Amino acid sequence: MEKNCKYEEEELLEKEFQSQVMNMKQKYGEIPVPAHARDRMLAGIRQAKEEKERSVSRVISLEDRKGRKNMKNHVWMKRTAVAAAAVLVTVGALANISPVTANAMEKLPIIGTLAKVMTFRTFEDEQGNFNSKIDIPKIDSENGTEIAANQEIEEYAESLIAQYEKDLESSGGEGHYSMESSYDIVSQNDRYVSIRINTTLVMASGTQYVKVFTIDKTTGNTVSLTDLTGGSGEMLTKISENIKEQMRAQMKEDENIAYFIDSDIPEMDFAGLTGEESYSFSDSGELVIYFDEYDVAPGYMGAVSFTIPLEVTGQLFQ
Amino acid sequence: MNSCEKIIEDVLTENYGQFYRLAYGYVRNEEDALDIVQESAYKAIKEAEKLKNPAFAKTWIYRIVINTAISQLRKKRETVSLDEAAEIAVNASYGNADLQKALSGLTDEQKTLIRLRFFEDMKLEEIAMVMDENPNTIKSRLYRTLKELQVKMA
Repeated sequence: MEKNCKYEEEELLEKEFQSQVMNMKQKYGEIPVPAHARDRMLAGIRQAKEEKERSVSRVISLEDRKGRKNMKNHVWMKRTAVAAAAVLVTVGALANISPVTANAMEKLPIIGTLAKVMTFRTFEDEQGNFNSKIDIPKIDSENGTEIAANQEIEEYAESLIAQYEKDLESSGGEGHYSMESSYDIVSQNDRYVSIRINTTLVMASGTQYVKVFTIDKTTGNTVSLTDLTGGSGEMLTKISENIKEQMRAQMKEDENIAYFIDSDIPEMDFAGLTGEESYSFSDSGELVIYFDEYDVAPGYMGAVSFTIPLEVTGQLFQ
Repeated sequence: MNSCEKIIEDVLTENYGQFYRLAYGYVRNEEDALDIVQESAYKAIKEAEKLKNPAFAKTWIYRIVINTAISQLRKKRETVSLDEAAEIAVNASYGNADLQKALSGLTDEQKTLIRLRFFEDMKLEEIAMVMDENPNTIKSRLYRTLKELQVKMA
């Protein structure tokens, strides 16, 4: 009986509030929706779809290593066709495991002690409000040997150009669009050189894509994070845990910092590294892991990176 | 490819205005609201496989928009309170100033409750789903909030 009474009281309170709130509700409904709100939503949808497509290709590419080599080139193109991504590829960790490749280290490195990186080609285009300028780097070899990483870098650049051309075609020249891509050497030590490709795409809003190729100077090949950490998964887990600790510590320290961790939507939280993330090394040889915009933090945080202390990883190279 | 992705995409594109207004209600400026819309769409598609029942697509997206908006607010806290103050001044001429003022004193969670219940006309059960709470908890929080407003406006 008492419960019933309380229920009526609540109903009344709500009704009373309802009438007061009508005016506000009407105003709420009158909030103008900008014309490009729909475009921004579509941009978010497209970005997510492209990344999902890429992660599917990544899985295929792992299978490739188990034998289906003939598909590799195709898979790589598909993966890199996604501009919305920061990928850092490091080459050369196999040397730590296999006696054959370890042997190779005693040979003269095919990339000199100081890697010579230069612009191999620049793609430039301007059509109405559409423009694009993409610098494609290449590494010079010490003795004229073919450097495998160069081909991967070029294919990545070609995928950016293809993206530009596709967007130009599908837009029919409507709107503003600018794609610029440059490169720099993000880190270099005796063993590895990491080349970062910075791509900025400006449509309705700006998006930044970062891809880093880390290349083993002794072999000229790119090395993935999985390769670098020995492929066991154990090291990757340790590094993931350290990243989570750093995220929590930073958020505790500064309330303006936010990562997708311990959030209200656990399924979106950072679960751990996949082994395909971009990475390079700090001056003192620590591992630096890069994430794409939106990967582990809200968009306003931009693309973020974490430096992993040597106590966690141990010395990763000689 | 799961079928939820297509449904989520349809819900997003059909209701973009509604999601924009919801976001705007938190951040009170166009640029931030647009960022939230884009980021929410991104998250929803990226995590589409996590949605188990397509019937809850809209509720699920509401939850993403609200969480994205609140984390954006954390960053922009100071700017927002200034904007809010300006808005209250503008609205005063339309009457209802007391209500506006009382609402601005609520926590983010309380504002979310009021918006969903009265602006979006959601049922308590739906709000409970969006906010990932039990409907009884939502009910008692809503009435506590209404009582609080009543006191403030008296």
